[in-house]
Amino acid sequence: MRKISDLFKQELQVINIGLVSFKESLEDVGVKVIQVDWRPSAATDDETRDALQKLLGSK
Amino acid sequence: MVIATQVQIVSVGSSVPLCDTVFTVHSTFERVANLLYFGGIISVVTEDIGGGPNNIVIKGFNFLNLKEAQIINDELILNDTKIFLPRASKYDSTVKLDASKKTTFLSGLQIFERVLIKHAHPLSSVFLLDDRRKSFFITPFEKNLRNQLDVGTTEILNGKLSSVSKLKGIGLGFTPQGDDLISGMLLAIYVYQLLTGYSTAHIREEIYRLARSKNVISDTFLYFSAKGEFFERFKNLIHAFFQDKESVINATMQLLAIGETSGADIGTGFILASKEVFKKSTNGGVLIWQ
Amino acid sequence: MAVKGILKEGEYYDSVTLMLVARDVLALEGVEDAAVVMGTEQNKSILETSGILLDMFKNAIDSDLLIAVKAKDEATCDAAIQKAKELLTSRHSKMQETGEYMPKSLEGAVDFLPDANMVIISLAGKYAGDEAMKALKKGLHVMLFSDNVTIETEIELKQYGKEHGLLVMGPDCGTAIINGAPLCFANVVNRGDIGIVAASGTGLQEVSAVISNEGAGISQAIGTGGRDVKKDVGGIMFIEGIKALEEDPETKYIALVSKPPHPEVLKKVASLIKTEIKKPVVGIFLGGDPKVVEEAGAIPANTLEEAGLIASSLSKGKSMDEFKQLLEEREKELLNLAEKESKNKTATQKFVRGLYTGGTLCDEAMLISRTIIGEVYGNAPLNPQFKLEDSWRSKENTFVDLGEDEFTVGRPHPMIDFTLRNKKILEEANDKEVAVILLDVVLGYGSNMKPGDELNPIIKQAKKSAEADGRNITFVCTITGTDKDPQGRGKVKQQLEDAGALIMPSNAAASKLASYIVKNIGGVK
Repeated sequence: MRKISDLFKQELQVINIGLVSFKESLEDVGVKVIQVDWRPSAATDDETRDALQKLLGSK
Repeated sequence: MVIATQVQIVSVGSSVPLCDTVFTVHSTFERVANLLYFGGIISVVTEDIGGGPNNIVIKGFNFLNLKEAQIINDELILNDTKIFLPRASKYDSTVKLDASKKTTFLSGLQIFERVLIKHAHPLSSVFLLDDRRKSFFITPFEKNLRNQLDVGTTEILNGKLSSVSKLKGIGLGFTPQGDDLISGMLLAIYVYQLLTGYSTAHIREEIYRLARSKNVISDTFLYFSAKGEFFERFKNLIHAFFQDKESVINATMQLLAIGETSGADIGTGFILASKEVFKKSTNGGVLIWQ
Repeated sequence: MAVKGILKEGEYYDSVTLMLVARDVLALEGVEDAAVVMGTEQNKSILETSGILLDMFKNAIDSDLLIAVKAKDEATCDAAIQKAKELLTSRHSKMQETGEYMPKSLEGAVDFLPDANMVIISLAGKYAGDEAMKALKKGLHVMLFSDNVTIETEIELKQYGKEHGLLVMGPDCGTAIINGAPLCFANVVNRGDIGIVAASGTGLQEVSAVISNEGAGISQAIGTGGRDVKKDVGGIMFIEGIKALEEDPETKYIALVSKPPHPEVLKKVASLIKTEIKKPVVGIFLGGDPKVVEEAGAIPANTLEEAGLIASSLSKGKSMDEFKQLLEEREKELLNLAEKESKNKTATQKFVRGLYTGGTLCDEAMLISRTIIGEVYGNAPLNPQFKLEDSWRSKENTFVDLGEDEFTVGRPHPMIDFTLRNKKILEEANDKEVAVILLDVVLGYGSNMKPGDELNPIIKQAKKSAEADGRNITFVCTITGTDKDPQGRGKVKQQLEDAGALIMPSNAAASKLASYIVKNIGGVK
């Protein structure tokens, strides 16, 4: 069974989803980090989903 | 610390030439680069797009910067990046189905339709499956576009095969929605053959002949659909029909997830044509279009 | 009515891009219809039916992009076409500029960083929850910077995290230090043997900076987000965080930082400390009764600074009396300084204006001032009766938290963008009733990189304009941060001192000094 405290024994390696400045400051202090070029997809985009739900009723 | 992202091949479609070839970059998108060569077109795509008969799936490459592409000595060279092309990682675009499970297929199809209606992009062709979606089209141009898609599709489904040429080429982007609808229909007719044993080759050929255009990308896509070669996302969906409901939902969401209307349009064509051919199949054959 | 358009050869876009561009163009005033399509025969016929097929389109081929606009006049058409061109260009640009490969999804990122163990999420709240759950299901720890995540989602994420041994920091967690790395808004501090669990971002920053400046260090600093210690979430991560620090061999002492937890949560924390935690625990529950902390089996602190000092004393093996002595001496100094600063005020100058960028720091300042000068006004006051009618207009003694929504909508956080506070400083300096202006400066990653350069001229200008009117305004500042921070605490301190400000070693000292001055000059209500 994994424990939170196991994390403290590992090298921190980060995936950053969102503000790029968070990735840059981690790079600055030598942490391995990769940025995700994230964007909402049609299926998860809330505006689309809301528009659909309004139109189709929530089923 | 910047992570050096290594470019890797995920899969190579069976129609991708592995001999030395110099390509011309036709067009690049965030997830796709289309490459022309004397024998046709191949697409280098990301994993979100997935495998296909003429796709090379790679990860770790920024497609928008692609200027030069070639294959030399089993290496795909994109700009200055050389990537070994393993002959082993072939993508298998064929689908094999158990002919005794027609009912399972049809119930999978129903779930697919429901998920599509609920989640597809508002301006996709899914309004053909649910009238309420028509109200998403607002401007005079959008309404006329919608009507043309509607008229073309309805006529084909009513047995008028020549209307394929009316439907092709309709749509905004360079893979027109009309062409995607036709692709979906072609795949449905092929699946009908797998599940019933009736040969549909001549119909698929005729539709492809009518649908051909100068748009090489669309043309290639229609060609593989007519041959019954599936792209990975759609193949997964068909297989999911024979698993559980959750699998169909997941596969449908995957089909929609790339943020294009293409998946929804192909799906709409597939559903409409499947309903039509299986409805008529009780009296022996497809084939309203014989 | 006018119809205009352009034809672009060999440009390819997917249909959704073209739809969105057309919709954006359509939203412009005076535009009746807009189409952005490839020039297929069928599309041309639809353009014709819609009355927007231009002559120039008639020979277009499949690979041409057609943009057609129908609008009230030619100028509107031109503007709309220009807009369409811009939108199309911007959609192509971002990745072309950087050239750096970025995976499109969490899955893709894991492929490239297979040993990744932490995901930081700062997407809009409506998407953040889903991504966080995806990360947890992949066995990754999560720091959720985003706010506006529903309480149900928070509970679901934290419950899952608890069951699977994963950290879920946040939502609305602005800061953490894991394995020595400052995450999001955090200070660069010494590594050491003090572990922190905090349900308050700037509270964590202040305590960790005090510890580091005292020469002790931090093993881990876990942020939970403020809602964790409320009744509904029930302190799930606060408790799991304490347990993790107990298990961590590098951590010898534990500091807890929070606003007062819900009584039920407090009960759980107390029982945990008594039964399972062998390491010494220091607790600051801002505004709560220190006795409660003591009953919970922890050493109570009265201020964030005190929590840092107690933990440092423990870590350095010093006796408790030493830091008490230090604070007592400090108290005398503050009183002397206040005495001196009180003398140069005019009869109209009575009040203090606290202009805070850190929410917890503002809370602490109000708690401390209350004991010296009574209740103060604010946009988020301790006593609701003292809420400013208009957050933008100070009254008597006022402490505002500029990080609250009414100030931040549509602009960056005031820790990053000083524009708003600079304006407020100059305004307050022109108020004849103002004697003291109290400021916090939070250093570290994520914050404004040149606070000294920005504040120095503003403080000088404010002092000068007040002096022109015969008034002397005392500027009292607290700087949360260390010399290792990219801004450098020492350098910022020098810059602010050069401008004539008094720099205190902590927020507690700064708020005390400001309050003592006000008390001396009779600004107590």
